[in-house]
Amino acid sequence: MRKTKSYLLALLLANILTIAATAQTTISGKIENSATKEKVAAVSVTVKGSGTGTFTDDKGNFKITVDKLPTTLLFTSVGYEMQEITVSDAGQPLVISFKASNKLGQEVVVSATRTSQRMMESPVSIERISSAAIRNAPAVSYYDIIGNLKGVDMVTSSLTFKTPTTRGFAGSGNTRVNQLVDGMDNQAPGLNFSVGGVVGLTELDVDNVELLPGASSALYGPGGMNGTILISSKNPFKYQGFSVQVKEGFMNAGHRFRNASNYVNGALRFAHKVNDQFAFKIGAEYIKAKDWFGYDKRNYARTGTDGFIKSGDRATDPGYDGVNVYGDETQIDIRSRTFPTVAAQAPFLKNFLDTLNGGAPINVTRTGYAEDEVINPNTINFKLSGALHYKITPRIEAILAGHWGTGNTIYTGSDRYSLKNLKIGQYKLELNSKNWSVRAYTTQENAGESYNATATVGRAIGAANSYEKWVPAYAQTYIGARLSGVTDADAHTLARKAADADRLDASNPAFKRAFDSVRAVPISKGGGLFVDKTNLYQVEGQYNLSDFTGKFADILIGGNYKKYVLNSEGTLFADSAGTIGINEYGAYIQATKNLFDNFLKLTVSGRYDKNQNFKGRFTPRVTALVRLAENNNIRLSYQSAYRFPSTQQQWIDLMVGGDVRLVGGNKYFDQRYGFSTKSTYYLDNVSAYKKEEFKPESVSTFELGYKGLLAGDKLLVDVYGYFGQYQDFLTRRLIIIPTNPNQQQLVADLQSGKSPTSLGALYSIPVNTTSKVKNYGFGLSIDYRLPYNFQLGANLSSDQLKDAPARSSFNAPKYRTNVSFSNTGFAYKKRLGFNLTYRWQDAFYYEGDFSNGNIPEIHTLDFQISYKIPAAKTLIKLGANNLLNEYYTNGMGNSVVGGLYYVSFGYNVF
Amino acid sequence: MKIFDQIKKACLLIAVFAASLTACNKLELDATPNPKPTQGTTPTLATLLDDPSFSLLKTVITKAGLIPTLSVPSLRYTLFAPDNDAISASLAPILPPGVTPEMYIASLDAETAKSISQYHLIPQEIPAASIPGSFPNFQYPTLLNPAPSVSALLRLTTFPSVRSNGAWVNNVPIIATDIDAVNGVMHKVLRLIMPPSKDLWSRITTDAELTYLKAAIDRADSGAVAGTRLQDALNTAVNPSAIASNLTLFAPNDNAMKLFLTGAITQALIAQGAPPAMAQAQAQALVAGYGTLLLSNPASIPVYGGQLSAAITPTLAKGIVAYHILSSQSAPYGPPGIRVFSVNLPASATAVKTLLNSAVSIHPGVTVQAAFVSIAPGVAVVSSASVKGLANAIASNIVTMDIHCVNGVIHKIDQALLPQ
Repeated sequence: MRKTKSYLLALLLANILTIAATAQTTISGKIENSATKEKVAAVSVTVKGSGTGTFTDDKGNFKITVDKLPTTLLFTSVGYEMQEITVSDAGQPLVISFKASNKLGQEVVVSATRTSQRMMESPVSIERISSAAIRNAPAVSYYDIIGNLKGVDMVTSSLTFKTPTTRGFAGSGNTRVNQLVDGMDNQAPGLNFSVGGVVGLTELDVDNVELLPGASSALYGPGGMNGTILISSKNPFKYQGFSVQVKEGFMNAGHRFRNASNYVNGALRFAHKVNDQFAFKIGAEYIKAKDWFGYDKRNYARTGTDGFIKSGDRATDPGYDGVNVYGDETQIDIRSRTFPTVAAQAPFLKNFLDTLNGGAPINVTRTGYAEDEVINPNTINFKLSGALHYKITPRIEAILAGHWGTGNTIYTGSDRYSLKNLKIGQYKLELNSKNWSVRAYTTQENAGESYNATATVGRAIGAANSYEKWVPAYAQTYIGARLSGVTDADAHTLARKAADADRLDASNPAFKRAFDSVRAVPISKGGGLFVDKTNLYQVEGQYNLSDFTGKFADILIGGNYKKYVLNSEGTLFADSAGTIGINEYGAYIQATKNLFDNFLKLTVSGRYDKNQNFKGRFTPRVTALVRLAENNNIRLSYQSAYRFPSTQQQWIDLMVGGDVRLVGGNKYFDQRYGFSTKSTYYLDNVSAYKKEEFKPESVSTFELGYKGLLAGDKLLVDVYGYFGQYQDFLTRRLIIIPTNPNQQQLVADLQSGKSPTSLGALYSIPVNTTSKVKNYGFGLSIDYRLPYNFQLGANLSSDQLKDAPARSSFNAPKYRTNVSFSNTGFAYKKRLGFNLTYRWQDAFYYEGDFSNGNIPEIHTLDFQISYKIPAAKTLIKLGANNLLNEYYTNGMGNSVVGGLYYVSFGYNVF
Repeated sequence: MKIFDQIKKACLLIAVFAASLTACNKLELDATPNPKPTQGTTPTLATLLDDPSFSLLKTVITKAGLIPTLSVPSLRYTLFAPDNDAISASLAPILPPGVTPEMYIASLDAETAKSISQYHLIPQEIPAASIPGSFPNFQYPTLLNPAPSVSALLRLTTFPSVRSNGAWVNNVPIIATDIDAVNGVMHKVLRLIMPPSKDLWSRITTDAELTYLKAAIDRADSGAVAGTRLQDALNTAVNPSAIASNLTLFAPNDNAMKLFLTGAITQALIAQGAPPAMAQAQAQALVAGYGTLLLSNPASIPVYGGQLSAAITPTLAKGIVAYHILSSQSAPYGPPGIRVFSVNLPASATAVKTLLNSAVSIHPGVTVQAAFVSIAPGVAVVSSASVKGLANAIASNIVTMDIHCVNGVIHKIDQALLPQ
């Protein structure tokens, strides 16, 4: 072990100390687009046959120092044809006329194998969004574009809170998709959702987004069961200068749910290469808008995390519980709460009371408030990021970077949450060389003043008009009305009116005061605030041994260690006694070999991870790439992925709407609440509770795909089919510790329609399902280059789950498709651009911790038209997301999304 | 920002144009109201009264101002409806000579008419099949609130019951059931069901035949703290909550009580060494001479005061009185008890718990029995009834049945019940 370490150290030193020292000449020049005469920035300029290189700055200028003349320079940039120029005289600045390339599929990706390769030759399915694509997309935020990639479903909690997933299992704050931003895990360590849209990179700083659909933890560690998203920022050595972008728009047109409101998004970035060794960048983005809201008023039959939509509204169901209506979650049985007292005082009414509602519980709920009445609509998002890049040697770059974000947004978890002044910072120190990299980073999370909207409203209602007052008032009026011959339904109406006589409007200052005071108190102390200051620390390294092993195979090794420090002060986790630490480490190795004269490329990878609370897991991956012909490849893979239960699934301890306590799977809870010592039953079938091993869930997938350029390289086709199997699914199940431990009695009480919460304490525990679940699907996309730079793209994908257990939360439409028609430069001096994107997805049944229900099919149309002014380096864009303002919601209880129209002015956006 | 307005307008125009071309997203956001059960508008209970055979009842209900209430299709009532014959029969005993039932009804004041009407109405639709057949009956509130100032929830109750040989409300036979209306159901009854106006205590204290019983209760209550006295459960005037007592009192009339007293004093004297014949003669003389004073204040009787007050203790009096009142039939056997009308008595001898069981829970109670006579198919009335104490040689006859009070019912009996 010690020997290996010293060997590795020697390798590192050898790389660092390789510094050349010879006589030098400087060549300078600039690069222009041959057609538009635009200066082309960020073009790679390298000396052929050597590692040295530079990039053009934002004015298209470059300067490169070479050892000798003549020398050959290579000019490359995605979207342009590569040029090779031999320079023999450095006296005159060069002017390179750069020709836009018409070729498809020439992009380079890193994530598929953790080494750079052409996207055409990726051995697994991969999708990529380039900065050019971001520039030309109608989407108001780069993060939204992910939703138009093949096979992707997006769950929109609110304007800035969106969660992408692939191959099913969509959900707000999906924990089955890994999101890495410049190598840093973007998942909020305590809240468990990826904060890509809220805290990630600023739009101007995004170099590219890569997406690996499906199982992908062999290289990126636990979590990537349903995909891995890697977002990379722009290196300040490559992308320089000052850029600014302002989007000014409006939303809520048509006043269907609220009045039209403004959307503002401003971003700037400044990057400067001080010299060949040192460059830095800073960036900021600010978004302000009135958010989309949830308006689902349908009646919900709720029991903890189970439930379904049922008929009835506030006027016709006394126990009405609207999906996006809050404060009406708790069913109050006025029979058990008040009738015994009334019957004791008025025994002559006892028989009468007993006959009301056939003797069954008379469940009523408080009159709730709709989401738009109580939640502040102002969504704000502010991101700040910066990085220092220093080249210790020409080959070794040190990066010190930080991303910090704060804002208000709305999120759907087990309830609707208002994230207020949420702050997340990610800071890293990284060393990169051609063959190796070392990275240490931390994620610092602070939930700020975030609160559970559902719980807060419920408790604010109680604070404004106490349950002790409301319930008897309701019962008294109800009984009085029934005693006057009023029918049951009418008696409820009268009772509600009487009990609500003192009800305050949401806009009433007194209600606002009650609301604000509840929201400032932690949930565990009877309020709605959740305190979360959980942090994550990670160190990781990777070494590409190919230089030494290349004769046999290309070998890559890496490893990481991460530590979570849960800190919610007892409001979210069971950490009232102090922070909880969770340690996890892992290592991976990958070997690649070309066989049969490069006809077949085989890659074998494996990864081992261990979490202190779970047994270690090994995840293998085998891929094969068959090069049928130039730019025509078949890919085959066996991939696996698994996921340790999230920090919440391990340690959450939270009372949620409907009087259910969500607890983690750690055995600590078994003792704390006495599941094994008291008579405890599963609520669904009233069988005795049995503590089972709490395991990571896993998936393995076979995939076959083809990617190729056809029709004279004008048609890029990508198609895949996969078949996977999940096991040990993590889901939740309700258990009850009944007040009366008798099992038969519990069965009888439940059958008589008594609300479970009236019979004992309810807990929602995470469990692994025992069944193996099959998952299969396919995807197909074509991109076709038409004349005059027009491009047509279309994709269709399908995902299905077979033998799904109840509440598997697959949450994927069977089919979805995206069709786009675009042009990045046409008409007058090729300055015009446009993009029209249509998306359709099938209806599906959505299951979430907050609510379950049907999501009808969704059509959306996005459009942008842009105009470039090269002299001023300006791009003006007129964009529309959901052009037709056809409101939709893509997850139960989530915001209803309408059209967003904007005009964007970008300066020096590359 | 004029340009923005123009852009907005342009976008809206595009949006409107495009919207007219393509399919819409279906949004499922609105709660669907639960359907209201459909119902017709006639007949209502009010229109059922248009039948000429109900003209007297209609007059009463009209006077009470309840016709509009019974016309509302969305309300629900059960109306026990005596037809003209029933009302005439009910009034016959009290009609002064020359006064017809029509005249009498026409002369009723609105307040009385309202009480009578409300007492015939249960604020719930109760088809005959929903009336339980269990002993003794099922207590339902009527619309009649005897003291709205005390509580809005206060109601005088009726006691429908069903047996194999008939159905009744209180002691009144139901002669036709389930006449449907959109706002409830009507059952025809054989007589007017008169609402009780007095409570048990005022009935006991004003009944000339129950003076010994009253004295016995006074004796039982002597020395007891207010609130724990027997009369507290009987007297709604001092104790409004007594309206909820709901008791059945087998009230021994004065003759019965005199017999009982004579027997008790005789035994006490024999126990103190007096020859039986002399003891009995002395006892008879004492009862004849001092009457109720023997019970209410035995210590004040000359010569025998000490012996009498030692023999007729408050505990004895309390035990005897408690044994004459039926309690709830399950532990702890206290009030509120049950209100057993004669028609509710079983046809075969059956043991029923009394208030004594609240002290001696294993006591078998009293044995009750009634004989029925059928006056029409499914319509029966009681011809005779009896109740027997555990230590009585023979059963006591119920000599006056069903004296209905606000908080209970009294059956006068001709022999005191002896628990042991």
